Amino acid sequence: MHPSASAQTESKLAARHVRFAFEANLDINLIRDVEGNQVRLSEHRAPKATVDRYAEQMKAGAIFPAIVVNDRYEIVDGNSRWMASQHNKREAIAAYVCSDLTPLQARSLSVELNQSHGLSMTDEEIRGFVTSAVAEGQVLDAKAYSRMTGVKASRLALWVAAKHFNMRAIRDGLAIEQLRDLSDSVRAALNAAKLETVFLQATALAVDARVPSTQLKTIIAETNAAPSEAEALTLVARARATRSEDIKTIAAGFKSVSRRSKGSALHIGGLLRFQVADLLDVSPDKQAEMFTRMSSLRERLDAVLARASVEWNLDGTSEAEDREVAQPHDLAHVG
Amino acid sequence: MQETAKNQDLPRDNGSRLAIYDAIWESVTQTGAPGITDDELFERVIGRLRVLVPRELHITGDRTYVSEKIDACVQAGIIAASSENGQRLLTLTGERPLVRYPNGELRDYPPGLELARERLDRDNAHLRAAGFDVRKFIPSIADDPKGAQFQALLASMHEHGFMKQFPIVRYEDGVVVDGLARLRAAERIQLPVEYWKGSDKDQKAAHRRDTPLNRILIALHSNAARLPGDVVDAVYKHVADVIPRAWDETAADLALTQEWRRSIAPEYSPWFDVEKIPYREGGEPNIQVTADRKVMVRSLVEAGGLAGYRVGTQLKAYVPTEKARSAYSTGPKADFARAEDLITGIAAMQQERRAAKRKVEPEWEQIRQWLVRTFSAAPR
Repeated sequence: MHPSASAQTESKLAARHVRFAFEANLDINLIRDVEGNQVRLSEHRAPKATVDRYAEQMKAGAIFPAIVVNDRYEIVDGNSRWMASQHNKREAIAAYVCSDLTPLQARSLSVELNQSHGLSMTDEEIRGFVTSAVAEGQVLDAKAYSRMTGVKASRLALWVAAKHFNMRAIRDGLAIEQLRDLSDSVRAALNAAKLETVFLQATALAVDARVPSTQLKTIIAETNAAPSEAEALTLVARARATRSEDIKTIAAGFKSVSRRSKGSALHIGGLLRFQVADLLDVSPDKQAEMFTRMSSLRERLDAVLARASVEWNLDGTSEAEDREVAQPHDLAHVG
Repeated sequence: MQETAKNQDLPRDNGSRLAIYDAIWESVTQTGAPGITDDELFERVIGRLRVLVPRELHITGDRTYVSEKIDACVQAGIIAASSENGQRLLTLTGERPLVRYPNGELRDYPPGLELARERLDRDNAHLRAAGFDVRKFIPSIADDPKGAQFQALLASMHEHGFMKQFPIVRYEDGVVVDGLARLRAAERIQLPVEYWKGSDKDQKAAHRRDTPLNRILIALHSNAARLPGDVVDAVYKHVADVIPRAWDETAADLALTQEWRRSIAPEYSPWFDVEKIPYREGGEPNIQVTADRKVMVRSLVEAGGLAGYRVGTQLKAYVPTEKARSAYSTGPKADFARAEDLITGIAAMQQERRAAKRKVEPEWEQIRQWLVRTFSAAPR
């Protein structure tokens, strides 16, 4: 293998089904610099210090991995190495010459190769590239891009879903200004809504009641499973009704008040994971104490259940539907 | 005017100019309006520019960058700017921007070419991911081994053997798209199959064009005479289900990119300036050496008294080489290697052959010693 050949670069090209030829001595004068070959957003295209260091290392006999160009010799990766070679008045440089790269392939290849051996891009820069590609209609494989960029696949998927939400919201005429407080996870949860009407109503609810993404995921999952559009919308309306107090508080300019049950809900959820046999499996020296504690818990739960059956609207119809449902803010432009 | 210049250079921002040209062309095609305002153009093109030139947009600013590129297109005569109701209106002049094809020629840019290439690339990615195999959807006479047609093929092969003038194309991954019936018939009667070899250039061209869509086209076109329309339509439908978009759209993109896809980059030939030095003092100088201590391997081995083919059979696996031409090697490109790689490579080869109890010609050691003596001094 030629010392400038790079197994890493070759495997990345092969993974993308890019045809390439290794050229140990590509005439430096043939290489063209085009806009867009630099993936970092920084002002300086190849930091002078890096170019100087590479140039010195080259003079001392160091061999650098081949740069990457397309079949028109436009540089795709290796700007610093190319500039250092020019600095040393070299006539040739080792290069991978890739056939038939589209501009988008060239860009994404730059991103991937830069992440592996350049000054790595920041998350913001990677996000900029990923979301622009999505806006261009590209279908991104989160796993492949995760491998490219080193950003977790789940995070990339979140960015992509949030971008799809933004594009959908614009398409549906929603006022983007009013959506600015929605987090990526909320946007991703909303984007899962299948029906446009549900998407609009649920988005309005998310804005008005600042519903956390975990709750939105449940609401959207239920609406997607609803047998009809009307029933799906009823579910959203019910979710809105149950949060009417929050909506009023937020509309008045205050934060919604945290419920005192916020802490206990997690513990009850945790307890429900245990079967009877699990709870009975207690060491003999602790059984008496555990019995007392579980008895207290039962008494307290009995009291809660007795009051809840009277005070809570458990059938989900009468009060919630009788109550005037707070109208969603008018997110949609009329036009 | 169709320009096919090779040496002319394109502006650095040509990609952005093409994106602007495509955006106006798309607007004119979609709306029928002759022109587009700056704001409308900005909205249409900014998404693509964010992918193509994010750094330039970040540094210059979105509006400023787009405005500069529009001005550049106006100056290049690609876009005409006029005023209408106090607003600038941008129209295409009929002059097209230039694009460099893979064979190095500069040609007039066919509107939508770059976008069509990207859509086809996406189609190919979908087909690859789905493991699409066009052969599943094209009937072969070999599907019915007892059928009259397959039996006739067997009879023909018994009579004529495998007709070498009709070789079978086998792709790098071993897949045969066309000629399956002949392949199965040959297997059945144990005839050696003639596979297409082609020249290096032809093989490289075929390799470059080998995409899932290309295989589909080859399968359909080479069987066009025998395939009924409904089978062809069914293949298109299967493809469209995977891609997923209508076959007509893919076909339109294939037509638009046809010239591009047929354009093959010329083989690159590096040129080494060499001088010739002798193997023995007072001998004829015939070993080609570059100023940076690269030696033309064959010239060295032959000067050392070994047949040139031993480079390939014994040495090549141990020494990284570079192919190049020089003033003295005008035929196929010659293999050059760095002197230090040759010294270590020959030693490794000798050691391995000895360990394997294989013959090691004494000339190899003499060649190695010559390299050590000649190149032990500082770089020439």
